Amino acid sequence: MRKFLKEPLVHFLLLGGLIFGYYSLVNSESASENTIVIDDAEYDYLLSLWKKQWKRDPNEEDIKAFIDQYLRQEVFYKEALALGLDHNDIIVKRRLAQKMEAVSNDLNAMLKPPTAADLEDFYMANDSLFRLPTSYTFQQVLFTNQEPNWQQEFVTIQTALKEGKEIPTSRVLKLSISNDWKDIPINEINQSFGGEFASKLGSLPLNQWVGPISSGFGKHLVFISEKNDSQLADFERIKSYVEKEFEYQTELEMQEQVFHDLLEKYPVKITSDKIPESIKKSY
Amino acid sequence: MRKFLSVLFLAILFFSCEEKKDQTEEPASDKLLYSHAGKDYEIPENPLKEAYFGEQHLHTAASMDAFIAGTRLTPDDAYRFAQGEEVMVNGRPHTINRPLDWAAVTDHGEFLGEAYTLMNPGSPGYDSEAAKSMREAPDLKTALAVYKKYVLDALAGGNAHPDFWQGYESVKSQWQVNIEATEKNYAPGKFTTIHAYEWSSAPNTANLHRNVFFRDTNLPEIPFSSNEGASPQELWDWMTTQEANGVMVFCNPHNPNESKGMLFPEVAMNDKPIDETYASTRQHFERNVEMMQTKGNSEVVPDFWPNDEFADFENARSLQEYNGRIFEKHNFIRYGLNRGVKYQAELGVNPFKYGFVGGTDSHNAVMSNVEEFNYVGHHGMADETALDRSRNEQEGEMFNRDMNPGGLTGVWATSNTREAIWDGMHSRESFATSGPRIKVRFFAGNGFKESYESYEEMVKDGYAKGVPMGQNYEGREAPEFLVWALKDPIAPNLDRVQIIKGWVDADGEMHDTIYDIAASDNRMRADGTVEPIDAPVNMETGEFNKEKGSPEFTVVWKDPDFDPNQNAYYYVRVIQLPTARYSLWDEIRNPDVQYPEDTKQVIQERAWASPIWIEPKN
Repeated sequence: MRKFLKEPLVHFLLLGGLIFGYYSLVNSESASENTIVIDDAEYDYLLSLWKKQWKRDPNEEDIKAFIDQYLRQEVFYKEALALGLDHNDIIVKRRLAQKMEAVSNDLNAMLKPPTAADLEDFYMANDSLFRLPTSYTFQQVLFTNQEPNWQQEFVTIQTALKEGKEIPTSRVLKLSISNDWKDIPINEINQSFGGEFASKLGSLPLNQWVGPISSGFGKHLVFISEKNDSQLADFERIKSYVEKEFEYQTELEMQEQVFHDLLEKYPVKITSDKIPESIKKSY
Repeated sequence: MRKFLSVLFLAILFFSCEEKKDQTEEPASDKLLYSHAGKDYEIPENPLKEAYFGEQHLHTAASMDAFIAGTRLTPDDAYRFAQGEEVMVNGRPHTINRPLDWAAVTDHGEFLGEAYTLMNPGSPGYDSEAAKSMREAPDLKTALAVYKKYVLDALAGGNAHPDFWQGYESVKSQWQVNIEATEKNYAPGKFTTIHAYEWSSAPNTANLHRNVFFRDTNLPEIPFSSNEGASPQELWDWMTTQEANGVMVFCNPHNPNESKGMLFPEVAMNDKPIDETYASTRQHFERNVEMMQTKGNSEVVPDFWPNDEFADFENARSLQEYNGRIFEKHNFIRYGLNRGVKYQAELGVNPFKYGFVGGTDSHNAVMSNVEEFNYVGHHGMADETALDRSRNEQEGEMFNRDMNPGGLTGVWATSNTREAIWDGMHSRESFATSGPRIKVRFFAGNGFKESYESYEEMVKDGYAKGVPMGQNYEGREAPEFLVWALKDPIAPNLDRVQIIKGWVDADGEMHDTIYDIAASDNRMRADGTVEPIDAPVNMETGEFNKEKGSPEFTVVWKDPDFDPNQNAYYYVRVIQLPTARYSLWDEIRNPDVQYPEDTKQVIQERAWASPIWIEPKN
């Protein structure tokens, strides 16, 4: 029984029943004699619509105008229904289908909000969604392909750096690019350097001046002092993000499930020969 | 793919929290204590200034024309896209290739109220026939018919609004939604948002549009639209009133190429000749002109500048087939700058003293989606597929294949905050690119070195001994121009750097000329011209040449013909090696799609640094 109560379609049908029930109740009073009743509830509803936009109370003229507008709409609407103009009208069809879909979306919000445990389960089960990319702390020294003797310079500077010397002034902020990068995620490194630079870092040894590594700017000597492997972000820190993802993913699942459950209620017969077999079989 | 993206987004979230700690240990940058909306931030500050890239021209579903074409993304969605989050564009997931540093949503001021009614169930007018059919148009043809029936016909009949307009309260409501989205997405130091809108006046279909930018949260109740005043003078009058209320505001015109000669005019809209008051008011409020956007590049066209070998670039020539927007010299920015210095000589003040910005004018809410290989159109159902782009027209405007993904703005600023970015644009220390993240610095002064030991020393010298782009050079001696340009790390190297000079001679004649001041691969000839680069794009794969060109240029250049008594301007153009245009990417990815013969497949992207002016005092 518990499981049964958890089924989205059950909720969906219950909700649908409630909506239907409400409307037949409301309509039964008036529909019989074509009377259009504006009672307190109806008036309050129209009034709230009006105030929602105008953000003040209406004067008598305003009230007359929106009642007028309402009646005009009701009269045409009822007459159109009586004439059966709603049948097979593509816009009416689409609107009703949209309404039904919206009901299924609302279902998601009506179900109990996820508990801390739900969120944690979701977080554990979808580890790839909540992984932080690998990040690096490194220094770099740049040589451009346009420097005539860059290879020689490269070796000289590499040797000097290995002996603990400072980066030469001419290569500090070369091309305006910082020499020191602290705890930078791999995607940002990729954006800042271009080329194959970011993807190469993973294969380099730590705490050594190595190179040449190619980027969109030229060749680099690189010294990686710290590598933080891709890891699951701390749950507490990203809880609100997990919650957002949970809602998004469950809403998608719910939509699909309601569609498929309903599809079973309506047997589909595809008789046209023009539709490929593989598509026919998928229903 | 979605998973990968959310990892990136998560990383942004996570590392932005970490930022405070990191930056304290970073020697190159300082910290700035910054407050916004009652919160304190400790954010990185760079005394050398950094180039922050962003969008200053973008429409969302809150622009009624965008809504009708199928866009449903809100200002909030647009800001999320700019920060790297996935959104649904024309029913398909899409992500920017590289997130932006800053952005402004510029929805049309004209139909904000209608947009509110269209988007908010329960608001009056939501269920009107017009609103319904706008929401439910299933295809482009229906959408256009609906647009004609409810909007164009109403306007032609002398009404400012379609009949489902609910009045100024609805305008206020949508303006408030835009304001809230702009506030919500502001992350000082990380991502800047700017309050803005577009004033879209088009008398006799001449495009006189201006994007209007506010410095802070001191904002008008309702934006001034062309329905309240269609002449620029009326807009400036309104801005004057705003200033009296403490609102800090400026505007940037765009698309002079569609202006039928009216953006850089001889007379004001009341047919009176341009006088000193007009000129100084205009210069006070109008700070930059949009160099390039999806509807074309407005710098120059070969028709009137046959000697500019790079003039044939995203000219959007098919504009001329519609609305009588025939090209004339008056429509282009280089002419406008020339006319501006001539007015300076005549009136003592330059009405067209413009810096440069670039934008997209996308109506899909995709901020600066400017990369050719990532282009998915900018106008909803009209250009959503490669096939549509190759063969459809943009109703009433031009051919889709003549459009381009649009330009980008770089602003030199000490920090990524709303005030710093706004100030950078206001002082014209901004530059435009046709899309790539090329960086360019430009100074005029005296006593620069031939070469610099370090970048830091060069920048410090630039400010200490000269003025940056957007300012006047005040010396009497011939100025030295210090130009630095850096390639985009994911794009090819640079071809060359040029300085464009315009001046007015003693007889009042306007002139302009181009100097090649640096070129890669030793291509500079003795006579100062440059041998064209041979770096072809691979037409099968779309790959660019990775060997040739230069990643960086640093040049100090002196004008051989400098005359301190001449009113003149100088601006910089940086040319990149050839790359594949989106039309080539479309053909490579869709073997069935064939663009017409006249479509360019390869382009040379570029950057334009704002001018430096010479204004002799008599």
